[in-house]
This record gives sequence, C-alpha cells and structure tokens, in this order.
Amino acid sequence: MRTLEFERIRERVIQQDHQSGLKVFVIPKKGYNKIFATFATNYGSTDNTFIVPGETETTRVPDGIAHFLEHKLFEQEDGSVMDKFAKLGSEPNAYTAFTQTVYLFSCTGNFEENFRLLIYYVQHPYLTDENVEKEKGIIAQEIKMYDDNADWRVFFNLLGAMYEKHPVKIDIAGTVDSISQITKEMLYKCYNTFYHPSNMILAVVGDVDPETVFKLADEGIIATENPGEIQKIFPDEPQGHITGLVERNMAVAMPQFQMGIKDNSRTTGYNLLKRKICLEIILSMLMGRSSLLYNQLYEEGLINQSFGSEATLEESYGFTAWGGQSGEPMKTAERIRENIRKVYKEGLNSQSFERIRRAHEGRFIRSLNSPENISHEFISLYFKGANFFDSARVYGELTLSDIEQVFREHFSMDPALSIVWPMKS
Amino acid sequence: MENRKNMVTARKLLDKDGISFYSVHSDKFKTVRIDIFMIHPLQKETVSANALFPFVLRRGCKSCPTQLDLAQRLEQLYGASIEAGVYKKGEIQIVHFSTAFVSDQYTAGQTNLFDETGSLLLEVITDPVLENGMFKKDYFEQEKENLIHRIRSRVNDKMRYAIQRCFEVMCADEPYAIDEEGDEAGAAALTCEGLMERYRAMLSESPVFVYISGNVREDGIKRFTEKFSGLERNCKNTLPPLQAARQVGEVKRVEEPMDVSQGQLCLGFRTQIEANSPDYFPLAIYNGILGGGVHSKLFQNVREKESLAYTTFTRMEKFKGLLIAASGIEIANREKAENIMLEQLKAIRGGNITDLEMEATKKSFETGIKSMQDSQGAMVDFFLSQLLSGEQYGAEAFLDRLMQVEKQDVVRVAEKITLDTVYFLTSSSPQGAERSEYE
Repeated sequence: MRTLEFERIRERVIQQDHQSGLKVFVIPKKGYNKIFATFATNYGSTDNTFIVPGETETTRVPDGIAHFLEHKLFEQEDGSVMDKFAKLGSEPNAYTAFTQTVYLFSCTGNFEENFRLLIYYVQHPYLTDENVEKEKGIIAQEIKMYDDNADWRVFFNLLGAMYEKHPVKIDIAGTVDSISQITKEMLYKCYNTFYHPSNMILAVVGDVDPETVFKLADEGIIATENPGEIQKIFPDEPQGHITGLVERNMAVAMPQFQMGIKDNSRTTGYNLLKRKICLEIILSMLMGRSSLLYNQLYEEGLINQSFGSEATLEESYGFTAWGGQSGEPMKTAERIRENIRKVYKEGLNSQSFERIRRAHEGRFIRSLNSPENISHEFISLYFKGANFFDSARVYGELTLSDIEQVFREHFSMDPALSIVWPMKS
Repeated sequence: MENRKNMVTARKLLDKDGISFYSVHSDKFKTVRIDIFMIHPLQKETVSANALFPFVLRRGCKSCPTQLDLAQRLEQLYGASIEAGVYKKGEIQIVHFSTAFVSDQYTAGQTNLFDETGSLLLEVITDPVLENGMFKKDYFEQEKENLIHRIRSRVNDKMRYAIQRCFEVMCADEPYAIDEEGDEAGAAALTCEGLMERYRAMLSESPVFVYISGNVREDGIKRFTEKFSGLERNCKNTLPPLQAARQVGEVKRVEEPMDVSQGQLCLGFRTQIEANSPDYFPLAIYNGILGGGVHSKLFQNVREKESLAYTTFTRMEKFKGLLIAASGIEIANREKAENIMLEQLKAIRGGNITDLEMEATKKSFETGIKSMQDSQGAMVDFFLSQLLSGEQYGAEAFLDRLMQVEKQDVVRVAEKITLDTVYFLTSSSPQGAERSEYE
C-alpha cells in the first residue's frame, strides 16, 4: 500500500497492487455521503483489431462490440445485476468510451455489499445466444437516438473528416448493421482478452476506509494466470486530414459546426497530460470567452453561447475540436482559420497566458468537488500512464514557451470542418 | 434506517424587503457558490422580457462594460464563473444568477474571492451598461436574436422537445403551456424600453432568494448581505399559488412528423396532487415504481422484457401535478409501446406492486437525497423547491415522509392519475429510419 499526497490541492491517492496485476485505488473525500466506485478495463471502442495473447493471427471484431459487451455484463444467470443494486439502493451504471469501459455504482450505504457485487458481476459474464439477440433491439434504439442527435453527428462527421483509418472515427455503439453480426462467441473472445485483472483497475472515491476496499478486492478478485500482453493494432494513419469539409442535413433549427485539428504527437504519461493541458490553454487563448476572436464573432452574431472547445489526447490519437451553432458556419469557419493563421505568423498573446493559466487551474480545483468527475478523469488518465492530480503540478510549472512550442506543432495544419445544416424545406 | 451523517441544512440569515438570505454551510467543498433567484408568475405578457434581461445583464456591467472585460476579470478571479438564466417550476418563472469560484484556502491566501466575486455578481445584476437610461442597443438586439435562436433550437433535442410539446398540448389553456423562455413571437415583439421596464420591476418588486453555499466566513456573508440594502425595493408580489386540479375529458392525441429515425412517445397524465399535499409523497413513490430507474416497471417491461426502447422513464412536474411517461422507440412499435406503457399503470392501480419495487424506490430516494448533500447546486435547488411549494420539510423530514409511504397509499393515489394527452414525434419519411450518412 502506498499513498501519494497532493498537498496543494489537498487530495490523496492510496494504491494497492493485487497479485493478479489489478491496481486498486482509493481517493478519500472526507465528509461526502456518496461513495463512487468503479471497475474499469483498458478496452474501448477503438480496440477493434488485436492479437490475443498466445495467438498469432490478428482478430478483427465488429464495430460496437466493446459497448455491446458492456450492456451484456449486467445480465447474470439469476437475472439482471441491476435489480440487485436497486435492492441495495445504489445506482449502477456503465459507459464505454473510445479507450476504456467503466462499470460503476454510487451509494450512500451498504458499501461493502455493493462493492462485492461490482467485483463479482464484472468477472462473471453470462452470455447466451438468446440474451445476445435480445439486446440488439435495445442497442439499435440507442444507436438511433444518437443518429437523431445533431451534436453527436456533427462531432463524428468531424472525426470522419480528420481520420482516414483510425477507429476513433467509428461510432462507439457501432451501427445497426454491425451489431447484428455480433455473436456470443465474439463477445466471449473480447471478454477473455480484455477483462483479465491485469488489464483493469478498481477505483473508489468517497469517505471510505481504504483497508476495507483493499480487503474486499483481495477477497473478490480471481487471480488467474496473467495471459501476457495484448497486442492492440492500429492502422498507419496519415498525418493530414482526409477532407476539409463534411456536410449533412438534419432536423435542427440552426446550422451547427465543429472544426478540428489532429494532433500527431504520440506521447504518454505525464507528458501527455501536460500536452493536453497546453492544448486546452491554447484553445482558450485563441478562441475562449476572453479572446478578441470569440467576442468579435459573438458581437457579429456569428456564434452564440453554445460555442466551446476541447482537447482530446490518447496514446494512439489526439485532436482539438471547437464549434457550436452558427447562422453562417462557412463564414465563421473562415474567420477562425484566418485568425489562427494570423496568430501563427505573429505569435500568441503572451499577456493572456498567466491569466488563462490561473483560470484553468481554478477550474481544475473546482472540478475536484465532484467524485464522478474525479473518477472519470482519474481512470481515463491512469490508462495513459498519467495521474489526474498531477494536473496541479502541470499548472504550477507551465511556461509560455511550453505553450508556444505546442502551438507551433499543433496548429501548423489547416483545420477540418463539419457542418450540420437544417433540412431544406 | 442508516445513520444520516452530514445532512446539511439551509439556515435562514435574514429576510429584508422581500429578499431572503440563506446560508448552506459546509467545509467539504472546494467551491463557493452564490445563487440568486428572482421569482415571477409564468405569464404570457412578461415571460419573454424576463427571459431576455438576464442575458443582456450578463454582457457587462459598469466596471466591466463588455463581455470581454468580464471574461478577463473572471479569469483573474481564478476562473470564477458568472451565469445567468431562466427556468420554470410549475407556473413560476425563475430568473437565476449564480457565481462559483475556488474557496480561498486554495488560492495561496492571496485573495478574498468571496468579496470580489460577490460584488461583481451584484454589479452585473444591478449596475448594467446603459445608453440614455436604456440597455445598450447592441446588447439588446444581439441577445434578442440569441433568444429567438434558442427558442427555435428546442427542436434539436428530440426527447426533450417531445416532452415539451406533450405538456403544451396538455395544458393548452393554462399558464404551464408557456415555455420558460416564451415563444418566438413574444421575443420578436420585445422593445428596449419594455425590457428596461420589466427589469426595473423585477429588481424592485419580485421576491428574491439568495443562497450562499460552501465554506464562507460569517463576516464575509454579513458584508455581502449589507450590499443589498442599497436596492430600492418595493416587493409586493407574493408567491403564486400551486394549481394542479383539472378535469380531464377525452384523451388528446397529437402526432408530429419530423425527419427523425427514432420515434418519441410521450403519455401525459394529470395527478390532481399538489406539491404541498400529503399525497405528494405516495405520488413520488408511484413515480419511482412506474419509471424512476432500472427497477421500475417501464424499464423492466418496455426495455428489458420487450426490447422496445433504450430510453424509457417517467418524470413528475411536482409544481403542476403532472406526470409524463416517455419512450424512444421504433416508429412501427408505437401502438405496442403505448399499450405496454399503459399496462404498467393499470398494474399499479390493481395493487400489483412487488416488495422489490417498493423497497428499491424508497432506497433510491434515500440515496438521492443523501447524495444531494454532496452537490451545492442540487442542495440549493432542493431548498428553493421546498420554499416554492410551501413546504418547510428539510431533507431529513422529507425523506422520513417518503419512507412512511405504504403500498396502499400508492394504490390510492394511482386512482387519481388519468391519461390526458398522447404525443408522438414520428418520422416524416415512410421508411422512417433509413437515411444515408453523408449527403
């Protein structure tokens, strides 16, 4: 057991390594009623091509299978595990992201029983031809819900414009067609490959006794032999975007747009965290609420409050993205492009750096109010070899020259643009 | 019942000129929040102006006259936020201003963020940028345009839109049908003069509730509340009464076609039960059993058993005694889904409630109310709701009342619940779903 202290932000992480290879973390939140517990695997929608440990052939699975598996794990031989959580009064949930799948519950009582249940069910899949078939109807409706969601579509169309081959361009839930090909056998194969404890973590955020967490993990985790390294295979992705513009029409009132730039740096750990924060600060400097560009576009009625930006950085891909609603997305995009080119030539406004750095640090500290947020960020960064709480250190040591260097590298490429137009009437 | 650790309460500090101050003190948060609510009855004549002025105020104030100035100032205050907005609870329109910022112990002792940010929020609300005694024309015109776009964009979120349309049809001749931001015609008709008049009236006459939450020292709170004494107040409005009783005639049925791949089916019910009625508690349990989570009848039957939907749930509008059941479904399954949804109501009326459904619903409330203590925003919303519904129960007493509900109480209130409106957002193309990805 070891403890990492983050004094400046008054947070602590207590870690224990299980003999199976599983890592267990407790992040204490004194005075909180809610305990937020997660069991997560380093396996997401982008992991669709891999070599199973011990095999030589490459396995390619249908799109949406990681998400399908997430749905199916709730089903146990004696019924849905959700009922058992419901009986305990806790709220179970799960989500599948591009690079991880996370099972969780939050509770305000009966922690031990809930935690045992979480550890048990994720390790005991119960798949039958029948229950796999039944799930297809439910997931088809989930897919269709996202099909009708313009925010989601404009974003995935942007990924489609940026990426030629990388599976990040594929919808997390797959398509109605791709999930129809999924079988019990394929699901078991993915499960057996990616759900070994050595590829997973347990993380508990809340006012909880760490010893109890470690003891329950010790009792519940099945320590089978470590199967060895999983070889995830990603295609060689070109450096540039595949197209500058993707458009479509949907039942929305006003056009929506997203622009973005691929990040071609391949990094990991603390450097990845630092680069991600750099990109976020650069986006604020260029087009955040306090920037000249944002305010000019806003005052001209070209953007509204829905405008926002984000930076995503993973080990196998990364990008910045920004956008919102606009009456004139083409014109707005051109203005943003011009501005980026201008700043690229003249350099970033150094006066804004310290102010924006401080604002980002303040928002990071405020985000520590939420156990959900801590859990989400901690898991996501852990699988990339970084510690979420090291963000405090990054904010402390960042310099303008760090920012300028990342800006030079990242913004050398012309952004891609995705637009969803209203239906033609 | 397990021990109720850390149940935070809202302590009333002061009530002056129709402005009530509350403190929600806790030292576990890293954030301090100030929430200011202005209350007004939801009315066609005033709804649009009340929806607009907060956004005009948010554009700037005397010391930070532009949005850019304000944004830079907030960044200097360690990324503090100031938000303005409007929403409704039943037939009450609520204008909401808030600020959130880092607790002083995390800014290396360099600051007094509470004083600085609190003053800035108050300045945004009371000291706008003026031109000849009016709001700045540009700000007015731009925010009016933004309001119209927000109103048009309601259609973007299909489930939300369907629920809203269902309530509109249901309450066609009641104030509740009015959207929290009014309609496009109302927004288009706004004038700069009329807006100033409405803003002045709200600032002077509306009941105001102020909540300060987090780890704040008493002397800071005192300084903050004293700043309100400069306001010219003539508070004559009282809280509008709750109104849930309504005769239900023949079921209204509306289908609306749109270019969508999934249908949204909404069943709107009248419960005749007001938020301050003793029957409110069995109704809340009823709602939980019918559609409040994974244990609910809708989830178990519409989703798990029949695979008809991914999303299926019920929601209560407690200030108006309404209940809505909604499912996102395949267009062709409309009738089947409606029947299965209605069967679940029938089952409860017939007393077909399992121990698990009862227990899980109660436990879920217990978890919800205890978890609420971990979120300043959720706590403040709860306390305000209690005030507006004329209830004095704190979180603990509220929970006790829910725990006392028995099956027969649920069956009793089930009798009162009647179907009023069926709304279906459907596909405009005959195939429904099939569309190409890139056009």
